[in-house]
Amino acid sequence: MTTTTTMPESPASPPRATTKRPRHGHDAAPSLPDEVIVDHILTRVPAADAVRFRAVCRNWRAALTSDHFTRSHQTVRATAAKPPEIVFFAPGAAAGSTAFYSSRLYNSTTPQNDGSSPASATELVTVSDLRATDLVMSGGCHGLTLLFEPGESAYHVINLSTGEHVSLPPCAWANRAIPYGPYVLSSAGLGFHAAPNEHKVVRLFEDGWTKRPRCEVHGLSSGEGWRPIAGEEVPRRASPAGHRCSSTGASTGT
Amino acid sequence: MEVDKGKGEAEETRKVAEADRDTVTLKSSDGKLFEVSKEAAARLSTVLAGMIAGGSIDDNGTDLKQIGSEALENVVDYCNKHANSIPSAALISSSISFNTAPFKEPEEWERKFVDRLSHDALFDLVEAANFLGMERLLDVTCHKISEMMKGKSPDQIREVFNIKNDYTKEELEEIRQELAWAFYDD
Repeated sequence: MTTTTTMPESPASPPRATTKRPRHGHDAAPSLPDEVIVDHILTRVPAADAVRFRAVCRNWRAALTSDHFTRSHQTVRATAAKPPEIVFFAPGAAAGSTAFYSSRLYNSTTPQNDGSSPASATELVTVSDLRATDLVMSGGCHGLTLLFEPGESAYHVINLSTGEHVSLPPCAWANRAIPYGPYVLSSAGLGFHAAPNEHKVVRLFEDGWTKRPRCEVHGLSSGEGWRPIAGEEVPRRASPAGHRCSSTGASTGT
Repeated sequence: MEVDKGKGEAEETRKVAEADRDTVTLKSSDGKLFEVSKEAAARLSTVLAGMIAGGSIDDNGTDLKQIGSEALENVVDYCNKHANSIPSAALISSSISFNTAPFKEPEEWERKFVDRLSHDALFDLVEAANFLGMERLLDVTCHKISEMMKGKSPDQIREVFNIKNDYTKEELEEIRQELAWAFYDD
């Protein structure tokens, strides 16, 4: 009989759980190392499940709300092959609310023509205090979507996966294309500024009072409110898109 | 020759092929021996690759004290199936961490491989894959678990993962209200 070789400590192996797990009983479910659960399993569950699982225990909530997890989840989920989807909204069941839906798009090359319904909409989230009759979707970035209520001159940013949303501080009114008409001379974009790790909203509009074009930026994390974009004055010729359907150009202005 | 044997499991103990050194022999925590192709083991497991390169492989059975025989059998089975079905090394993402390697969906045979496992066997295999640094097997097994978790309630998840609820009733109610949309009416 020769001596047996023992397993060397490997850098790939995580710290062992201090408690040996109970084995194969009805009331004894197995437990896995935290690192495996968080990095390899939870990063793969859909966002709605990941949000609900915050209610499992304190450790899970801490892990699921960490920046590390958010970034990993985005990366892992983004690499999963998915057909493109469109997002749209309609008035929700409750008065003054808006329901958001997503629907997969299939093209002719997708082997989907098996007689099944080509595309059905899935309800994502419903947001109260948001009137679908006065709402423009102004593009998205990194999982966040920018919404604009022209009638209120109010911007909102929503995470359509988790339903979390913030209303941006009040901003100056944009001039209307036709007096008392529904269209305002304003467009906005949501972008991500990597260096400070912050989402920013940039709006280009014709000021309702001075009739001059203005450009303002608001950082979602700094919370300093709207401020004029640094540098030169906005050229007169830079006229904002005069539509409800604002441009979706994202920008990362300072 | 003699090897440690589990009680009543002698018939399952495989004889070490003395001359054939294309394989490595692995020994489970309960003393059963399994043979696996050296090439496949080195390709699929960073830990085994390191041991083979470092010469710390025992011809009479390399001790894997942390891995039970059922899990080790599945590991070996996976290595053999992988060797038979993958023509290139394209799928192997060993030593690439999860957040940089794009995850490829499980192949049909990999899906079948994990689907037939019991709940406990699946969790044991995750632990074994993690311990042996088998990135692809870890991906495939964890993918399966994540699919099993879809739509489950926090109660069901606690049961599956053997987790104690450490929230107070009030805290839990608060979370449920704050994130009401993510909960089903149950």
